[in-house]
Amino acid sequence: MATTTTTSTGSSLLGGITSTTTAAATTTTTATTAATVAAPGTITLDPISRIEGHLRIDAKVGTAGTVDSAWASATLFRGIEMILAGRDPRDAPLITQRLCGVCTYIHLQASTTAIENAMKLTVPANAQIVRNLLQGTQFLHDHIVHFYHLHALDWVDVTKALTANPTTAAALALQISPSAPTIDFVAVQTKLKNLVNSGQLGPFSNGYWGHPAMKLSPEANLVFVAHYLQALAQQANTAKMMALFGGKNPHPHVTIPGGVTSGNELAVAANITNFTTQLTATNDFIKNFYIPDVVYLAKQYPEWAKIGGFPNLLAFGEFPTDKYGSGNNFMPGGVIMNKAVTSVAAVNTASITEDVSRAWYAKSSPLNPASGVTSPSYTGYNQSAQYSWLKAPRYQGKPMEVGPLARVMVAYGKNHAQIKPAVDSLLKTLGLTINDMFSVLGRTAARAIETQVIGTAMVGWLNTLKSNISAKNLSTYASNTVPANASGVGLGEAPRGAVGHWLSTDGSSRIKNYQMVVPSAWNFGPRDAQGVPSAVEASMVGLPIADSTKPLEILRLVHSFDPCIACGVHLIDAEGKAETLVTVP
Amino acid sequence: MKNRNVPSAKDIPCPPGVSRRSFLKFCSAVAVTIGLGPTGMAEVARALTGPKPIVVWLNFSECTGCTESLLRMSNPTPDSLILDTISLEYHETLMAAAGLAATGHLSDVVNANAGQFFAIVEGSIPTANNGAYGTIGGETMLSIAQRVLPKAKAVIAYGTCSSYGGLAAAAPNPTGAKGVGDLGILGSVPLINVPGCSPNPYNLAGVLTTYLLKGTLPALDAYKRPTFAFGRTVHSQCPRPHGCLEDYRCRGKVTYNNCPTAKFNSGTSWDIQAVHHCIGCSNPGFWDANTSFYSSSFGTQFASSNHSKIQAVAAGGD
Repeated sequence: MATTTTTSTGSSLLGGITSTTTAAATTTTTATTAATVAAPGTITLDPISRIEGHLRIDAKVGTAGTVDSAWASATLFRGIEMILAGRDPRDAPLITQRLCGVCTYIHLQASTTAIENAMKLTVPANAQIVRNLLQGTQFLHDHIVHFYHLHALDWVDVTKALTANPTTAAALALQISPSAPTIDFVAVQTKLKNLVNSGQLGPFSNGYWGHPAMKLSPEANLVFVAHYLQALAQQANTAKMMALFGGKNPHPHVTIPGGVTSGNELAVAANITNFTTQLTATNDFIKNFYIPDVVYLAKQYPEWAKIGGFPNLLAFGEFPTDKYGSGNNFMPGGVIMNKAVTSVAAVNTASITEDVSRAWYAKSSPLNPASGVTSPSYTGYNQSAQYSWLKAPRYQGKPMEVGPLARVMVAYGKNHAQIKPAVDSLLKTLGLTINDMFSVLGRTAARAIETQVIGTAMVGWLNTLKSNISAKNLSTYASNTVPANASGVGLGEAPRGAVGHWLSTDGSSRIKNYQMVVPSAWNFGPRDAQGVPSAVEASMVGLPIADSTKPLEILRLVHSFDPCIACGVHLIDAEGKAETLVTVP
Repeated sequence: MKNRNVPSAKDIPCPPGVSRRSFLKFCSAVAVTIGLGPTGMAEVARALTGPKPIVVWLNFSECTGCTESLLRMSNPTPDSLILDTISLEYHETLMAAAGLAATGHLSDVVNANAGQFFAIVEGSIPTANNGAYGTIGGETMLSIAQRVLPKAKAVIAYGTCSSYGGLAAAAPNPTGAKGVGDLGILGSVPLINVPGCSPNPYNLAGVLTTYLLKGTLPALDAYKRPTFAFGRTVHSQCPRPHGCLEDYRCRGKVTYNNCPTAKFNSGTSWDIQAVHHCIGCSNPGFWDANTSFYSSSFGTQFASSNHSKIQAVAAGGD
């Protein structure tokens, strides 16, 4: 294994912090001199930062300076499912919640609904509303953080903001969003200058600054740095909504088989008032900052509407409008194949299989998660054999993209009353067509659109809850007796895509089998037995790379999927017993 | 935290570009958390405006919930902590750099500041199979821990996973996951555990501030937890807003943490306020100890007969 040295030159303004970095790891990278088109070679990007979890991306760059093929590898295995075996199913929501502290509410809910599905239980209307409000909070919070803190630094050159004229930046901010509250751009720039003068850039150290694909003006960069900080403050306040009805965020303990625990807190008028206040502030932020910022970035980077699309989309749907399992979701489920937006098919979970041919599990034929069999077998990283801890889920044998774009396009295809006009309006503003949504830009735009639509819908859900409370309809809990020899499925959506939990119980009502199919397995899984790449691997083909030593374009594409990797591993056999670890060093 | 009675507020230093009001609220909250009382605000502010300590944050076998908890501070906004107060040189979830630019920077910072930087660890460390279950940049997390942590000035295990192994270490612990302390690699480097799932960011801020103030560790208990936060049981501080939940398997009597007083999301709420009992998430081995988390009687507290209480609260317009 070679140790490679790369030099990050940074901006001349940052001479003091220019550094030579030596690879500490046994990663191979073909270093090339900076040019507008990268020379052929192989790029390994590990770790992918600004994501949840541990992810490695490899790309082979061809003679045209574009990616010929790519590999996505999840590099952490926790084996959490194993501890579920034999436990009280009522513990499963708390355990599976810890699959991810970012999707902190998602697995709590999916696990709970899987149990309730096994119980054939419908929770009280208020419990469903509270769940939708908690889940809605998760979406608003997550999407804001994703855009400003995980994705924006792929488009914004922080170092260029140092040379911005703060007065001009203020004028630009007004032009981007006339309704946004004014910001002291001098103070923001001062804060940035202090960082640089201290020689300690902190999280901004060693970014791909000065990259030729960074196109914003110094003033625009300053505006986005200011909004990065603004959003950091906003997200902490947005998350308080989850704490108001759920005790805390992350990891609220509130959604339980049978309903929600927090009925008493709902009756406290101050909590409803505070929730309303935070929701209003969050919706204002979305309207004044998030949406206009996405539109502005889209106009500066229009070429990304032609890059990085994937034709097959899958959504399970989320936010039940009456009860879970009725199929009536505010964001509907559906399947789109080959970009056929106008023909959305219904989801049939029997069509889901998981392929493990190229993952670190013992060989088995593709199985439906309801009867999944899994046996880990680590064989080391080998692109032509096994190379990931993620399985490769398939729908009707095909790789699928899940996430905001899938949800928004399914909703669009179904003529969703709020989503369709929002998409049409954005496309008109940007001069794009519906086909352009199948792209990096489309994913980022879809995320913003659904944030606004869900935030607005939450106001209505909250009003219904208020009416119920006024009418002394306060029931938030039914019962939680889990039957023996039962099975259930909980389907829903994480901000980054479709989530499914499959559960069965034994004769003592303990967990017999537990399987999860999670968003990043769909998006970031490995190839399957036929060698067909998953959504991200396929989307990367054709991606232009300007400089192999600073593969900014890979970050842009990968981040557009909002990877979240910690949830993506399985380890429990069909009998619910722990598998013996098979180790092939 | 009220700070209206601080006479010398204008003399208290504040980092440039930071809202003074927000910063002082933060200093006051931290002063109370670490036992200085509201009058310790000025002392805390001075400590926080000195040279920025270098911090590297290592994400191992984790769910990123600890990072998320850190970002939920709202007095001050999280950027005041991570940009103005500390120099957060490595944090995979937040940093701009990726790949070699990131791992190389970690090596540079660690080597250039040996014995001077703080390492904050999120997540347990997989040790089975020579650490093969977790790699970053092609290097096992175990190797990274062995390489980086002994060079730190102090190591803070933030969250239950890095403190005691947490969920990945629950039976049957398929990856051999361990907390930092159980690795036995630190030598004379001090370790402070700040457990919780999720942990409270003010407890982390309290540890850092104590260091900056006094240059020493805060007082620790037998589990290496700061006593300012973990000195009392949850039950002993619990206002029992909905009656004692012990019958439903509340662990408040055997769990040491300041959740009832510090609360979460800047004092918004905590589990028991949402009528879910304490599951003991800051205790070692809590995922295996005395599970299930729910008693057979659980649920009766929400039964319709109890709705009169809810209605009474509603009618009272609390």
